[in-house]
Amino acid sequence: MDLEEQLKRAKAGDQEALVQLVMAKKEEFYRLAYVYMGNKEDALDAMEDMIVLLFENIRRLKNEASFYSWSKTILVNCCHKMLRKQKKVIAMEKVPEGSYQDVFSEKEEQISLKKHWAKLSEGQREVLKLRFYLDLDYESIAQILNIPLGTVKSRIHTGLRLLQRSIGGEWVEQI
Amino acid sequence: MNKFEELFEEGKANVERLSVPDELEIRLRSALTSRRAPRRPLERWKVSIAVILVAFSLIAYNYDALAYYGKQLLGYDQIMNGTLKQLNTLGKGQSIGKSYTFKNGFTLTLDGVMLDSNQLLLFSTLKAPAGELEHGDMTPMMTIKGLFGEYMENNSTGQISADNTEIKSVTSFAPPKFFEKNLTLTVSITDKGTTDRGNITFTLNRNTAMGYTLKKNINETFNVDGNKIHIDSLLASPTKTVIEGSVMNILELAEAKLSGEEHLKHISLNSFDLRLYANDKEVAIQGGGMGTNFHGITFNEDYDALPTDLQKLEIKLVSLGADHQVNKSFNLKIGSDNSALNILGQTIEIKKVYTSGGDTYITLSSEDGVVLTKVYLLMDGKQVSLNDTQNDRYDKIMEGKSDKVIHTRTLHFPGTGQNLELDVQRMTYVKTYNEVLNIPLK
Repeated sequence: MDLEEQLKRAKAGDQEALVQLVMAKKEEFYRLAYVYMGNKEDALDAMEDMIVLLFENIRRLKNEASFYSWSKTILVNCCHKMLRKQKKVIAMEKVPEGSYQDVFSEKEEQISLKKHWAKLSEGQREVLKLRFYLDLDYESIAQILNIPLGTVKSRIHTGLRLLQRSIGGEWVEQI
Repeated sequence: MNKFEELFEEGKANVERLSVPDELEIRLRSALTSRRAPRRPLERWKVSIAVILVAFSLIAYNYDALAYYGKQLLGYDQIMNGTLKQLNTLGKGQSIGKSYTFKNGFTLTLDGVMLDSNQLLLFSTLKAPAGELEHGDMTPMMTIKGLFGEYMENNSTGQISADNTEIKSVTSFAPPKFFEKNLTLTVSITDKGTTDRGNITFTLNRNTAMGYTLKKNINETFNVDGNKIHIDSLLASPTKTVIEGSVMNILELAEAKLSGEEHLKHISLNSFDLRLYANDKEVAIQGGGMGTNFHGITFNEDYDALPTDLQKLEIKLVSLGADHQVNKSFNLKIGSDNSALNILGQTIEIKKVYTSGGDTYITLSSEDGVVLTKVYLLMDGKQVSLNDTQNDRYDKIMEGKSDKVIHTRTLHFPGTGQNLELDVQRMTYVKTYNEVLNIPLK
């Protein structure tokens, strides 16, 4: 079944069609969610939130060609929302394997480079991750985050410069 | 490669190594099927329209008189538990019967309230034009405002009628302070992205309030294997019974932090099984909550109301899950004929050890609650950290009279090796204690 047909059915309230639309690009969605959430469970939760919102709002999607960028924007918003909540809530759920406290600090050391990230603003980190982890081009990033192309470029530029200053490596002009 | 490039290379490689979990499709589908009554956090409220209705007051000097004036709330049978049904039959509530009509045509009617020392219950009906309830998030959010504060919704149970035209709900709030009389219920509904909010004011008739049946300061401690569960108080009211306590008070929390031995670090309401027995019969548990504040880690457990002919009351700590030191390693070989591990009296079955895509996977199962909280895989002597845990599955099996839950999962360690050893350093498991605390009733 082609995209158009499936979208039509999803708009008519066909849940299965919507699931299949998402599953067709499951890797892209999952990786995007993972880059934000950093673990499987939260990434899946964010995708659940996303599909509910897609289902509730798909009738209002006018430009059908933009389904995927529209839904990714929604996914990113879901991730932001969850991250905001996580700041306030301490999870009391089931304990995952390997969660004893010093294991975390060990992981932290393994990726000591993380501390450099801390010097960036959230907006800069976000754009850099989308650009370099997911290999998205500037256009797509602008679409997904719903921000102007110029903002994407400037965030990448300043972000890279800050990182460079922090790490002290060779400066590569990326733009 | 310099560090700068490494930063991105490593992150990118990690992302590329990600495989989409098999459960994704099922989870997406089930997220949609359970969509009918989604709970969402408070949205930004846009416009507030106050509808002021004339409050009618009910003058009653005692509950029995109210039973005469007040009327039973109808249509809530399905969503009331036994205790509430009984109280409703006795007319132990206050009828309100006020409505608010939203812009989209939905009408919320506050049918009545029931108040005791533990909670304020709101009985409400949301009516909608035929079939409309199917669309969008139609569960109204509720908050109650009094003279000196705001009371948030604790929990709510609701049911959609077969023809999708109405939802009846029972919503629980913390009981308003004793001096609160005039309350404003704010209801908001989100439809097609916009939020509509309205108010219903009502006067609480304190004469209908049911107070409490038993209030006890307990101040006793269950001390099991160095772990302490303090039971602070018990408050029984006609609608429910609440036990409050703490897992570690703030001093113990500090002590544990300093000594580095945090037995109860991963404590959650699931990790201890606290039961209430009245006249030797178990009182059904209804829920609970946990939080950390300057008192330490505190919890509350909610049970059904106590029987009226109460003679004996006991609190029983059935079991507790805590973290323990292990420091043992076990030889493993590729395949599915590894023998089961016995760690601190707990059996962990090694179902399968295999390699895939250059990484090593170990599928194991144990009773639910057994968790290897610090585990490594020694690959030819080299210590490798756990990457992630996949494909969690929980199966309920019957064993004699009782059932237990078996948790099967696959541990994923990056890399492979000839000699594999599972290095278990710490483990959390649930131990049965069955310690009883007798609550004197006099």
